[in-house]
Amino acid sequence: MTTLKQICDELTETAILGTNRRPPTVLSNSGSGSLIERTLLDIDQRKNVASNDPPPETALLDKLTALSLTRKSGQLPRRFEQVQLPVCPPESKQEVGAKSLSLLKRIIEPESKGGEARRLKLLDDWLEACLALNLMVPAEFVPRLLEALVSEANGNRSLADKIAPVCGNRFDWLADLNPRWRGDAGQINAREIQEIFETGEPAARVLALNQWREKFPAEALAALANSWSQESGESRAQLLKCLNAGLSDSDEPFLEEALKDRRKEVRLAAAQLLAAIPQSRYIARMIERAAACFTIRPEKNGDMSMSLPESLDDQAVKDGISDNISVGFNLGKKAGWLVQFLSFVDPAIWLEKYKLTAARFLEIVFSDADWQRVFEIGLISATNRYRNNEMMAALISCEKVHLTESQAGLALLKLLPASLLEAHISGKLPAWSREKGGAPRLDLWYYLEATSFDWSESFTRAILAFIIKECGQAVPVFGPTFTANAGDYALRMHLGAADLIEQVALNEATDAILPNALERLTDTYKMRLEIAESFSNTSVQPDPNSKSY
Amino acid sequence: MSPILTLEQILALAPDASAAKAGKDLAAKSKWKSLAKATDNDVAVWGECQGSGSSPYQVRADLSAPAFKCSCPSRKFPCKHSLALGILYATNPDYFAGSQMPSWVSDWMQSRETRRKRSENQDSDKTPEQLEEARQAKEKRQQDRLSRIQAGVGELELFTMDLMRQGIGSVKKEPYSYWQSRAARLVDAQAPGLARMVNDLAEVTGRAVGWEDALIDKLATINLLNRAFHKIDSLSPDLRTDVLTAIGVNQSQEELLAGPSEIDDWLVLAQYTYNEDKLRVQRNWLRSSNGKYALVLSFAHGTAPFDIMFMPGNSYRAELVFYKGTLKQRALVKSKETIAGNLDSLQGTTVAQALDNYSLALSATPWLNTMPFFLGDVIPYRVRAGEWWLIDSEKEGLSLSAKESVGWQLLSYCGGTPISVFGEWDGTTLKPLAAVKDKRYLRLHFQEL
Repeated sequence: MTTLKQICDELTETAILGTNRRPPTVLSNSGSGSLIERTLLDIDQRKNVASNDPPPETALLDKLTALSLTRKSGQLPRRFEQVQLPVCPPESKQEVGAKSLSLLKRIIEPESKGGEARRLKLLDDWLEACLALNLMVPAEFVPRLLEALVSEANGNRSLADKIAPVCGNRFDWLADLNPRWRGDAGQINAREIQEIFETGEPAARVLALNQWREKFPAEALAALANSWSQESGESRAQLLKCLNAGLSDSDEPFLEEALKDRRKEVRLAAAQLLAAIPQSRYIARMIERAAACFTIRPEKNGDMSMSLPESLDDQAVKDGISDNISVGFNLGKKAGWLVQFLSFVDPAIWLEKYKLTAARFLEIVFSDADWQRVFEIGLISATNRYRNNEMMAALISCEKVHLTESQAGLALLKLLPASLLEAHISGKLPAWSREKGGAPRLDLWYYLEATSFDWSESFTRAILAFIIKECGQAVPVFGPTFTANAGDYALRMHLGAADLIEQVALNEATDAILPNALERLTDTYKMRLEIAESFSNTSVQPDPNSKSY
Repeated sequence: MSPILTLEQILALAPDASAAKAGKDLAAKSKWKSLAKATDNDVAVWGECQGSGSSPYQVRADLSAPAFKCSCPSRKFPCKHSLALGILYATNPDYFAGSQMPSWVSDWMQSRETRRKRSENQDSDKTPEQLEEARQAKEKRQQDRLSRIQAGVGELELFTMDLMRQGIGSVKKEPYSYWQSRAARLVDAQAPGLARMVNDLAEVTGRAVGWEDALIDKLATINLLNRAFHKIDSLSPDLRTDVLTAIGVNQSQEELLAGPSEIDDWLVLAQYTYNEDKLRVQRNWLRSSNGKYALVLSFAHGTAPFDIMFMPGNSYRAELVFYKGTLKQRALVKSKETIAGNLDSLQGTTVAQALDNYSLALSATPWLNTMPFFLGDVIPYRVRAGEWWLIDSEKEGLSLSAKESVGWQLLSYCGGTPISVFGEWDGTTLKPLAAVKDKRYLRLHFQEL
């Protein structure tokens, strides 16, 4: 017997091919007596008895119409016998108010203003305020927030830890149904990692090795050593970088071998890793090389003599010392070698060797103008690498050092404790305020780039006062660093200075760029204020998209 | 007493998000030189807002409509100044001291009143002869239009027959313009409903999977309408109206509003907006206390606000006039007032009952496009990424037309316990638009899918 499905399939095939290529077959009566069969037979009979046979295409379209209606009107629901959805435990937390929720939507919506830093900081502000009151987002909003966690705050543990509690019991309940939303959703067991490392695509292998190193560094190293000879040059460089996770003394022999690799990228990756192992032979070689370049005689009033090598030996080349490092620093080739040697040596070694304070050491090595730049760059890099507090303090208080003129200097500023950096900048503010020229004043904005995201209230007030004063000048000097980062500065400010933000306004708009930057600053600050205020009078209005009766 | 609109109602009038934001920014008393309300009527408020020009902008509002006018050069309507005035009045009515209307307000109010009266008295000024003449002219216009539609339907039939001969596979790769040109001919034939259906074929043929059945379904609907149009004179009045409406012959709103109406308490169960050519269309699904549905459509050009303002989840005591036809689903709003809501009477159906209702409706109007389903005691269930179902207490399910985000939103909302879901059923899948749980209403954002 021909089933309805067979009839459907045949008519659909005819419709796709067309009656010109496939004339429709005339149905035979199966005797089922179904309405659709009778209808289709009627259409065929109409064709046979009519004096002027309707063309086959008319009959086909009529049959298709009858079948379409049958499909729609005779639809039966699908049975789901086995579905068992666990029930989420009841929520005990109060929900945030409509205003707070609407601000959260504005922050995480894809077309929200500003870059990633702005979104993350505003999200952090929002979550902090929500956590402080032990509130949660409405249940229906939880997936959207968790999705934002995956797409926006990927890998940001601090945010992930704050998002889970504001989702209430829904977090665990939903994360069980969609493990991607759990903070450790990306974690997989060692066996799976090994399998991916051995058989996966290149990108997946790198990810797997990273995870393996984080959990079992020794096993991961053994696996890499085992596959090393079969790896391509490109993947060797990529995989080697994974050893950064869980790096220790026991990795040194393998990395020393990697320094002999034919491929430069592999050698450089190995050198970078060895440089991060303080007691490694690599560092010992660097100390030896740097020490051979200069000698200080403290007993002779800090007399310093210099002796740079004529050429690099093979080992130095294998260690990744480059001829080109001086490009951009305006230094000679040999001076560039010394910069690199110095950058790998803990400054404490020089202080110990010559029994000098950091300040006195800087005074001596900076005394010769020809060598000041070399020592400045090398020592700043080394201080960043080893976080040497004494040298850090000496460098920022040394007037000859211009930290904002190099990336290493800016990196050093970022390493300073927030209070120390604020004090350092605050100390410079009076002088900058007096400056009549543009350039020294512009330095402030570079310094602010290095500050943390939690300015103290007094520091915020000092900076806002500086901005307000500058706005009042006949020709305000802000510069491109300010205009590019104005919104970011507002993200760092303390909300206790709200009374000053209204005073940030230009006397006269000279161009479009500066007013826009100032508007970004005040808008961002006001948005943060709005977030805080929305929580201070929470539960005032329900969400307009959700209504309780 | 002046009608006080809520902040949300004012913001709903904003033509776009940036205007709403700008309006909110301007809604500070310090930015206004003056704010006042009329002492001799309850509806006029006005203010002067200092803009970038030398003299302040004069902003006035008639809260009964609501309607706004501003002297600023903005092309947006209402402009940010008008929105700010509305927001200020909604949030801080105390700022508005009673005063005599200045001429720039009273003149505008007067002109609005004159226009209103003129439109009310349009027909009463005419003599019986003029009215008869107008009636005959209208009848002739209708006949002419039917003739043009007849020609359009004839051409469409030739096209569908050609499709059957050549096979629908032959048009799978045709560009959008191929369908658009055919649709344009139907627009010329004054059959915009059929034109939309032909335009829809372009989207269907563009699908990677399932395009064959979907295309056959659409062609079947077109075929039914073509056949029905040939027999238009022998159809019952309701069916005749159904066919003409589906083809795109609008029913006169004026005539409908003069006919019988129904007063009831209506809950706005769902609302969403989409674009149709240059028009924005807002669909509002209302449900009466006894379970009857009404579909209220509102239209707006460009950034203009919609003429009817409903808040989803709110209830209204409204006088509705239903369009003629078999199902009597679409309605016009004659009057409405907000009332306290009550979700107690909301009873959803099972999946099987909903499908039975659909079959019944389909038997009356086989070209039925979508039908409202309100399913009770259902849980969302995810079979795989992108495939969501609603399963009722009888363990029977309906497929959802919902992106992942909406599926998860529903699931999180339910928390594993049954909820009620409202949506539009298109014969194959349900587009979820709202959910109700524990007397709490949730609007699902279709546009955010």
